[in-house]
Amino acid sequence: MPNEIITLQLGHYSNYVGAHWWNMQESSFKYDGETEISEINHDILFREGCNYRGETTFTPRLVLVDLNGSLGTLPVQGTLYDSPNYGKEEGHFMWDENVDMHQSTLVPRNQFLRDLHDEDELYEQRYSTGATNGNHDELKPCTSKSIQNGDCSPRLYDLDKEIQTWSDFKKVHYHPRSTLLIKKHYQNTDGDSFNSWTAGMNEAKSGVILGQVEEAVRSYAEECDCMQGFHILTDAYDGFGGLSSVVMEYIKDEFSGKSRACFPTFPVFSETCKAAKLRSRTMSSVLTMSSLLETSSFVCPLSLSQALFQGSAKGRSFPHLIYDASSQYHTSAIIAASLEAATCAYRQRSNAFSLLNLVENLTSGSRRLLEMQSALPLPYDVDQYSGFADMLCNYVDQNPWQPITPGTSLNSCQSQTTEQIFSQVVSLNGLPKWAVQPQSTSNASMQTELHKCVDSNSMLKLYMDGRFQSSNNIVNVISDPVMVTTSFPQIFSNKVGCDGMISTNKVTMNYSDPYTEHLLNGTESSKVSSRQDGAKNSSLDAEVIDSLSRKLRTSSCTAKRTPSISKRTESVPMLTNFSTSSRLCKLLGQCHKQGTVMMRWASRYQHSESGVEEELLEEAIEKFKTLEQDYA
Amino acid sequence: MAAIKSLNPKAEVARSTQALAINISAARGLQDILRTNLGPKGTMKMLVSGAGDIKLTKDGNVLLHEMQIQHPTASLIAKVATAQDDITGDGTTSNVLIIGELLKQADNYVQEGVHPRIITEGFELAKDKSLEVLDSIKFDIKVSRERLIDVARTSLVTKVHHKLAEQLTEVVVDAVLAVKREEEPINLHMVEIMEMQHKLDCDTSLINGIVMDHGARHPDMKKRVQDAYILTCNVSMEYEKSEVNAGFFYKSAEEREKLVEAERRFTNDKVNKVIALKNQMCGDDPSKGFVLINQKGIDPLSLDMLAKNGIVALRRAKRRNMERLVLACGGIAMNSVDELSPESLGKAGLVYEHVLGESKFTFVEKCQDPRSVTILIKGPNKHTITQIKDAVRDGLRAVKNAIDDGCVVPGAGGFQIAAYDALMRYKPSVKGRTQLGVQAFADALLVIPKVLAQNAGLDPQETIVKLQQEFASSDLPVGVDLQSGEPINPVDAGIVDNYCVCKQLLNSCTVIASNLLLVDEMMRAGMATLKG
Repeated sequence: MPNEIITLQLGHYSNYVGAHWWNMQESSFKYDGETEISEINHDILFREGCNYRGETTFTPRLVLVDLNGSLGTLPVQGTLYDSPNYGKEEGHFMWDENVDMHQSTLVPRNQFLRDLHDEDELYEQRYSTGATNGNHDELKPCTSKSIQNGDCSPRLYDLDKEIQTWSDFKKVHYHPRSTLLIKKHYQNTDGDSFNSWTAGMNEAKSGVILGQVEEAVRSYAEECDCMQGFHILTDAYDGFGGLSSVVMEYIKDEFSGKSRACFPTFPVFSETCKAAKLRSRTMSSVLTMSSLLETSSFVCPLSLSQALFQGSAKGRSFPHLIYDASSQYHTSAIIAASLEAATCAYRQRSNAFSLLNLVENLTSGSRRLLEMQSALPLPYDVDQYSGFADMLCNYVDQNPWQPITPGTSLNSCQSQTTEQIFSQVVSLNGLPKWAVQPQSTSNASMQTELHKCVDSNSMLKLYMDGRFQSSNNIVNVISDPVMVTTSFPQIFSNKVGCDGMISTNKVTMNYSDPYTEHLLNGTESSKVSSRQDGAKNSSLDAEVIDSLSRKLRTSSCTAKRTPSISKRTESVPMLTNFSTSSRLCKLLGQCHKQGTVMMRWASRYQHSESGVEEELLEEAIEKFKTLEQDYA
Repeated sequence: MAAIKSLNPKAEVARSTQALAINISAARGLQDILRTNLGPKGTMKMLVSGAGDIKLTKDGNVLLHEMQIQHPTASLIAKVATAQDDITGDGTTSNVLIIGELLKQADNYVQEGVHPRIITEGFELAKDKSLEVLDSIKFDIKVSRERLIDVARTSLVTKVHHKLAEQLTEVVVDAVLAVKREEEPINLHMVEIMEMQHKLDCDTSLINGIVMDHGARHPDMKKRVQDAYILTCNVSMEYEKSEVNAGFFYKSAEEREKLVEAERRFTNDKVNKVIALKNQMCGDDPSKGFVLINQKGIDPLSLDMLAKNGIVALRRAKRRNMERLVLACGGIAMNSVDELSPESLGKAGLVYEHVLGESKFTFVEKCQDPRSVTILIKGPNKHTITQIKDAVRDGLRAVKNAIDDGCVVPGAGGFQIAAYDALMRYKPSVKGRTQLGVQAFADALLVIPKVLAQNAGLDPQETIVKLQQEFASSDLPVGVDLQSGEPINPVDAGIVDNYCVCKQLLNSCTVIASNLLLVDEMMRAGMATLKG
């Protein structure tokens, strides 16, 4: 029985994160159901449906809200559920008099979307000619057929400059009832009124949007046999914070027995902004955090920002990532990858661990604030370590991961040993088998308890129990890596190979490298010649590279594991956790402090600009204060 | 130099004539956009977004909501006009037209040196006079289906093509009459609007009962039940683990089994109570059906139990439908299964399911004296459905207004012609230059018949003159026949407007136009500009 989860994405940045997340999940689909079954149960987050043409569809169980004009090239209804005679009756509608046509300039699609569209067309043609009639009942994914069509070679895209909005890199088709827009407010306009928490609150209470969200959530819930809960991704720094507070109240009332996992997201605000804007941002963040803590099963804020409440902040640094902190496309990708990895804990097919278990293990009473930490990619250096245990041994006094939750990093003067993790759920994704245990037991001197473990699960458990002794550690190991295919920004440093393994000694392998060339000529000559035109430039077929790298790996596996390095990292192993620790009191302290500042400001200016009731703020401050003590 | 400049050098200031010019140009700009919309012969607007989304509309209100209006004055007018729609459900386009025209007429006099204050005084007098005319020209209606159909048709032909309008007219009138109860205000929420992307727009119909957009989730449940008892309730029939942080420790596997069983039994008990009621009511009679409609969830095990006992069960019904179902079928919506009794059950003659792709629809029909009905909107695509939905909403409001007012006003420009005539006779009795304001107001009112004629391809001046001549000779209300351009009696032709819409129009237009005229200085000098 699938334990369905309904996902809500409220706000523009949350939709960025969501689009990345769905893309990653879609990339990890396995279509050949007989030989390999995915460890992740995709039915938890996706639903099977049927469109007007009678085709089977597989779409996220998702409700998203954004502002008017934020969809770019994406029609509100999506394209999956077009009526069969769509386009034919466009000119035919009944009106005897004149018709005025007002057409806004068509938003141009980027190369990536054009290719996706072409693929869909191709599929359409095949479908209409009846080529697929034979395997009709087989679940035909309407999303990304590139995996099936061998003829459609994966291309490399440089999306960094072309991304205007989240729909520009979204691969997965959404269900027509998924997309909801707040009509009154426009994306990217000056003087937008949707900046304040109160604006969102008012919109939710007076506008139609709350009714629409309720209706969409209800219809997804109606389909679920055994729903386990909700994922709520929300922008907490603007009007969507207010909206999510109201939406969460509804969900709490209507679905009281279900788990509600809340992920407030914040982009990195790297540009200095006006004081008024910063103030409304802070106000919204404080109030949203406070109200979500009240209505959710747990709240896990996500951001790469180092300073949440400052006008201009820097992004966190990751050892093997080179990314642009001001780009929402980049930062959201990192958050999404971490979410994908960490949520695997309760999305497995074989494991009965559910969202409710996670909640039970990590929260207690009002202590519902969690943090997430993530190692993207897993710092497994092929040249340095011969086995997972080696790697873990190297992280005895430092953490292998970086926090994704803002405001929790410690000052340099404080040592990491003062932190206390109360409880955590750790997920290890996609560590290949060959990397777990060394083939040869040459350096016996290095043997520790860790090395004696037989599998990565027990190794990790032992490590966690040793390193975080007071913590209740739950460990999950999934052999599938996190897929970071075409739509994922190319943010990995040149030390990261195409399978996400790190090699400090080697830098990017050039295709003019004599060693590779030799290999290419030797083993792959026929293939290369047939694809000569394609391989002319750097756009060498990734397929070839992939098979090549696989060969490299298998051939050298016994001798020495040479990392496979290609132009593009396709998948990464990751180590992530949800945890509750004493470090969170730092975030709470910040919220508390900012709340007090806001309070002072509000009472002085009679909150003319934001109109927030002081009581709410007072309540929030009080709550942060008590929670701070709880976490200390 | 404005004083504010010395405080905030970045402030933007526009004074007297300049300010007026800004206001007038905004009002006229908006008027130009909406004028082609007015009347049954107006232009349909098709809006295509950057991503290819289509919106078809002729409704001024919808159009104003779709437009991104930057100009502060224009957005003020748009807000007033849409507020008109919020209150009365119609008259958005007329509102914008009249405000624009009032400002234009006033401008002519202001240019010649008349102070705006004098004009607004004239406006005020003229408004009061017009309201008197409105009261004298209105005629009471008994709540008869024929008259209400006239009202609904007048509203609907301006929104959708005439063939569809004819059909919707009957639908909305019958819907309102069904939910109407003596001595009670009409609650339009009791008319459920359900959309179905299927067939053609002309297949839109009225269902005497409730249509829900979900169906039974068990393969063994009947798709069609006749003579059914309906139980509406809000009781969770799901096995749920609560989120309380309590740990249980078991000594043995049996003990754990027992505990799980006990937890499950809690849910089963609830289901069994429903089954008991079914058996009590239906016995072994196979001709009687039993339908359970639950606002909360029902899990597969409970569904199975219900199916085995011949109960059709729907889960997660809309919150509002709980209320509607009870009004349609009778009975009481139950919040707990402890007090189930035969009285809590409703009855419906027929319950059946209709499957359309992945969506299911459940029809609860043949109810006795339903006090809640459903308008089922059909159309081949989303934009047609949206268009019909907007039209139906306006139609419902128009019928409700007519019943609430108990009277209607002749349409097709009939009121405006009568008001003009009355104002012209009233004008000499007004003292001094204030006359000019009355004159401006009277001229502005004529914009409605003029634009109606213009949109129908007629000569506006010629039509107006004809109408005025006819009115002077007959003293009956006179409107314009948009087919021929000849004068007709709108009441005979079945063209009638809502009284409250006209009243609201006169009031809000005068207030806004006066306010805009009196604006003497505009400045933009907030905190934001200072910090810039």
